Amino acid sequence: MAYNILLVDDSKTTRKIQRKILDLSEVPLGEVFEAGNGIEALEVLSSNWVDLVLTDLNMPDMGGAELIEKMKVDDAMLSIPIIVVSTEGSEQRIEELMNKGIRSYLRKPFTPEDLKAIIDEILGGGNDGGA
Amino acid sequence: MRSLEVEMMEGHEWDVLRTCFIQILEDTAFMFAETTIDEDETDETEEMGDNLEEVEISFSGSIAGSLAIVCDEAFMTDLAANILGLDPEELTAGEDKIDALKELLNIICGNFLTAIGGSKEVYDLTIPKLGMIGSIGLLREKMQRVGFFDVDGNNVALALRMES
Repeated sequence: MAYNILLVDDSKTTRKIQRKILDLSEVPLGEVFEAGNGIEALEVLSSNWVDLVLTDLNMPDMGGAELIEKMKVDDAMLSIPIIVVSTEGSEQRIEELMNKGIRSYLRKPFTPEDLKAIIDEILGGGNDGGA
Repeated sequence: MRSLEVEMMEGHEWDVLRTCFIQILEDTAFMFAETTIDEDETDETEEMGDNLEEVEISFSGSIAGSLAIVCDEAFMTDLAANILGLDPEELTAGEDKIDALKELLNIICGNFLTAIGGSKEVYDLTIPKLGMIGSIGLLREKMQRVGFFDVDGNNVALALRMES
């Protein structure tokens, strides 16, 4: 089974890095979609099957927190695992996000190994069971 | 009149910011920064040259203010190439270079705020924006503290403004 993944970050640089890390992961990849904010992400989600969302928080027009809220009230999106990748360091904010149902949180700057480990854990890490 | 306590606090914050800048450059782009001159040694700043780019981010919460990085295109090119693992010649879009610089500043700001305020504090950050600073003199007028770094042969200025 190949997984479709959506990368949501207003930084094209970060999306490119995440794409490279995905290529290095054990996860069998289907399509990798990209969005520059929450609005674009919802458009992708409404017209494509997505197995995992990686999202930043601080983005123009619609940030990650609002995107998560909208996903969690949509029957078609609420079960999609979400990983937040952000510079946010506030325990309160991270706890709020966990309460909203995100699966994991990764703080920038992250190493490829950090992100790869989380993705492998959530999606199973490939045919051999992953990391 | 500013109290000694306030000045000491700002000195501490500057040291933390400088450490964040150096560490995050190393972690994200494998680039190594050394402090060249401090803010009072103004003459050397002319080495920054013309055609400087500036990115700035503001923050609010228990403390508020803004951070800025000023550099030339050579640094932006090296930064983006290092982050993306490309040769500088492979980078054709100026947008990629600016984006990399904005993301660097975003990461520095988030980590700086947690380092000085702790993880209990909540801060709001703006989206990093591009400015065009005419001169280091204008940067000094706008910001409270400016420091200069040699980053793998590139001159880079880092600036901090804190609201009291």
